[in-house]
Amino acid sequence: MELELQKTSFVDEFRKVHSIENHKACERTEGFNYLHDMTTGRLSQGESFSFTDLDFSRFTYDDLCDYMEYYEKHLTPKIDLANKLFSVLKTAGAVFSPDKRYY
Amino acid sequence: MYNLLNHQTLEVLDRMKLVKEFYDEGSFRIVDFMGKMGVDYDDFELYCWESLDEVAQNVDRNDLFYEDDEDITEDSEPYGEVWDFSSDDLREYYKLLRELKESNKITADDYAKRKKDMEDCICRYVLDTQCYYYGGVGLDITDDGISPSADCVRIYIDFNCSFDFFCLFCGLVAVFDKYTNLLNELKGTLADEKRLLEVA
Repeated sequence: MELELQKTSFVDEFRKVHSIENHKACERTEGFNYLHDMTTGRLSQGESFSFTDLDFSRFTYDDLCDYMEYYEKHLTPKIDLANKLFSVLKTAGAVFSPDKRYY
Repeated sequence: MYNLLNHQTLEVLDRMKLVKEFYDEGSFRIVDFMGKMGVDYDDFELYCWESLDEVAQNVDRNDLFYEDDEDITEDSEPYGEVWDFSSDDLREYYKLLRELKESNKITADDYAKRKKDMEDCICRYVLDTQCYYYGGVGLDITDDGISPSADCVRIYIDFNCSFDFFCLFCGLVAVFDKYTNLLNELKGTLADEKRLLEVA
């Protein structure tokens, strides 16, 4: 199994809104971009978010549905891949840990 | 990056859909309630359970037993709970409606329609949002103005069945916000009519 993940481009995938399928990034609605900035955008910068950080009047229900679709199609596969990779690294770390000494 | 990978963002966004739906319907407390909790997906249900008594001004909770009242012993295990929710705005709304009907300011049909609309609304908010579950939550609305527990929304919770506490909680917050909005709307209409009559 070969897994490759470039840290810079990985975080970049989450920081910016990307074009997918028939949806160009520049054509996304203001509400969509707002949701991205306040949720995934913040998480990609190591921050967290809360419901009170969000102004619910700045996006529509449709914006939210569109954003969920975008997240599911574009970002979830990348998160799954990264989680798989980190799990491999974690296992490897446990096996080769310098703390584990066998005499 | 750790945050990003471990955050159940999609699940949180899914929960946010319901919050947004109620916010658009006029619920003015829903965002504040949600803001009190973190966005850790696993904490949602627990927070909602703990905050259920803050949904309305008057909340009463009782255990439900299979046995009749006289047969309940220390060993009896409750199979569920019944919660009564009521607020001053809810009571005032129904009181005002009854007064308007009695003074013929609204017709009996209009009165019945307003009551039915609100019953439908409560079912939609509390039960229809349950999605896959539904079985563990029952609903009763009393608005007779006579019995001591009159004018309340009564929720039956069966521990043996599945239900979504988050949906139940959000639905109830939205219901009581709706009563406040309806009461203000009705009072506004009456004040406008009174003003028009005075001018005429």
